[in-house]
Amino acid sequence: MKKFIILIIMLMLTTLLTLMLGDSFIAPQNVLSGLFKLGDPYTNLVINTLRLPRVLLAIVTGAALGIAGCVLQFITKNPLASPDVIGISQGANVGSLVFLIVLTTSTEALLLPIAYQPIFSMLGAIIVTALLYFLAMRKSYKRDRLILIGISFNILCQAIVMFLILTSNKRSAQAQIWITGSVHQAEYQQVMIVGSILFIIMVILTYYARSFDIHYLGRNLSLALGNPYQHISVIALISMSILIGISMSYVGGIQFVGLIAPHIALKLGAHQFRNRIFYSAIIGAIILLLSDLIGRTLFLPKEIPAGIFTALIGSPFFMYLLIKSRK
Amino acid sequence: MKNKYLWLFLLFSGMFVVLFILSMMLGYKHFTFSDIWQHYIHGETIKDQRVLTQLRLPRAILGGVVGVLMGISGVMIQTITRNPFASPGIMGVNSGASLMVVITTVAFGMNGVFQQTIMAFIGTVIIATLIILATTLPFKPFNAMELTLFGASVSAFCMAITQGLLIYNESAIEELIYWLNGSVANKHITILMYIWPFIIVGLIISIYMAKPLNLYMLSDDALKGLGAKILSIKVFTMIAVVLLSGSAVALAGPIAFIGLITPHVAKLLCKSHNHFIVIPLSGVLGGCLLLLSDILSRYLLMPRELPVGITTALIGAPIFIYLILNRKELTE
Repeated sequence: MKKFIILIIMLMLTTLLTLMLGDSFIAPQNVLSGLFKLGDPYTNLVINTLRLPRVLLAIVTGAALGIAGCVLQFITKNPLASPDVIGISQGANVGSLVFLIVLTTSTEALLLPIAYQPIFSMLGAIIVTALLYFLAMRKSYKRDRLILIGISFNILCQAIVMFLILTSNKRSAQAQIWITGSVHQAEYQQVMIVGSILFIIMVILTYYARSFDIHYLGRNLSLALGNPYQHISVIALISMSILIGISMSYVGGIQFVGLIAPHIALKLGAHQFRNRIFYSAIIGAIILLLSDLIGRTLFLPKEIPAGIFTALIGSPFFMYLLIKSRK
Repeated sequence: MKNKYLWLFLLFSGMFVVLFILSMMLGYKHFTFSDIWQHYIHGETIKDQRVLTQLRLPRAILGGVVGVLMGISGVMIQTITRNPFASPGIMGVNSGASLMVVITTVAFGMNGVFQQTIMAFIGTVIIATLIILATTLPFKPFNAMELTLFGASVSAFCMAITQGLLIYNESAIEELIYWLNGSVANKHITILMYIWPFIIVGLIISIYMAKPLNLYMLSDDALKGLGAKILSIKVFTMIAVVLLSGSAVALAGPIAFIGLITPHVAKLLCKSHNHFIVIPLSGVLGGCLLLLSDILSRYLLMPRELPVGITTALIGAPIFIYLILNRKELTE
């Protein structure tokens, strides 16, 4: 519990830091007055309209990605499983692009309102997850098989993404940035949507937390204890796809957050499922906040998408895990 | 018995020639076979012959060469890593080339064909050497999953830097998007002139290595018992793989799955693991596959063209999944 409180305090400090830094520096006391719209108009504008939605979106999507990665690692019992390595995130991207590019009229106008984009993104993630489930997990689960099939889905979806981008007349550069993942187009409405979905899924997962712990013991033992093994797998995979789909549709492909967060959570001693998802959520939020902060301050006036920093930190970390797991 | 293999090889060489000619004939502008015959055999001028000589012929030659190189390097790397799912592409080699090309274009403003080709070659050689050393030299070799994951993380790392640079310099994206997805179109035949010595050396080594590689299918202990020089087999094969795949990437950019699939198809067709047969057969098959994908990628988005790397990924990924589903050690 003490660690949890420390994590929360760290998250709050990081949030404060990200609200302070940017194109112009705003002192901490001004940040607080700006939050409650008590400061001068300039501070109010910068904090409330420019920085706060972005920071909040980074927090909720970071948390969503952390939870998704944690659930996937728990269900596959594989510390190397990550939604972006085994193609689920790319599946969500395909869903979004199908909505943006295929479902248009001949004049390039969207057939459906843009608000429906997350639904297609979730559908894409769910389809890839379902295929993985049926090909590699349903009858007998083999770790290596899931990863290999997942990676080929990843490559396939990347190819489909490029195919779709090249078919459209929209600017490919814009699409490229969106795919790399950035939180720079944040709106309060998006924060509300991701936040409420996050809340619902957290409630479901904590409700089933004990079953997840038993699930981790393996198929035979959990069936012997009367735990619905497949049932739990399916619940976990569906919640994971929903989280991935919704965060991908708003921030694009932010990689490796879902991989790193659960590992740090484990290092902090969160072995139980309930603790681990909460820890992963907070750590994911902190990672994404910091990556976004680096991306928008380090190379001013240019902005670098947060996804690039998460990948730069994440992939060496991943190699380290891979080498370590061989012993 | 030998005859059977010879016929198989000749059959696919014939197919290669047919696809090569089709690759010259088909596209936005069609040529008939008699056009090509008249132009190249009788030396007559035909309508739009510039399209044929400047665009189609280089493209067909590059496609064929790159496919052959990928097929051969795929066989060798699968044997040397003892891993049926290894291939230069899946191990992350291509991403090194992309990174190098983007660095030279964005940071140094060099976007000539010569610089791009040489830089792609150097990038591939560096990253391929690192990856192969990291994955084959450890005491316990990487298994299929570890190797693939390692490649995926190397790719992710290089891709992140590549994309960062591209965002830093947006105008480069439009310029490089075809290169970054692998294409044999619109390339000048002179790039082959810079690369051919490496190709020849790589091919000669691979011919010499066919016999040791046959031995290498035994376990390390058995090899030691036979007095084979394991280290030299590994090193020479790696040199050949690096040279061949480096040349392929330098010529065409990152193209996935050809090196991965053709060895499987070749072994399936000739029902043999003898490298004297599998290496040439896989090479010819790789050429056929790439020529075919290149022809397809002209039609999928008519009148625009698709980078051939996307076509091979769209075709190759389902075949790869099929191969995984049929592996006994992965199904239980």
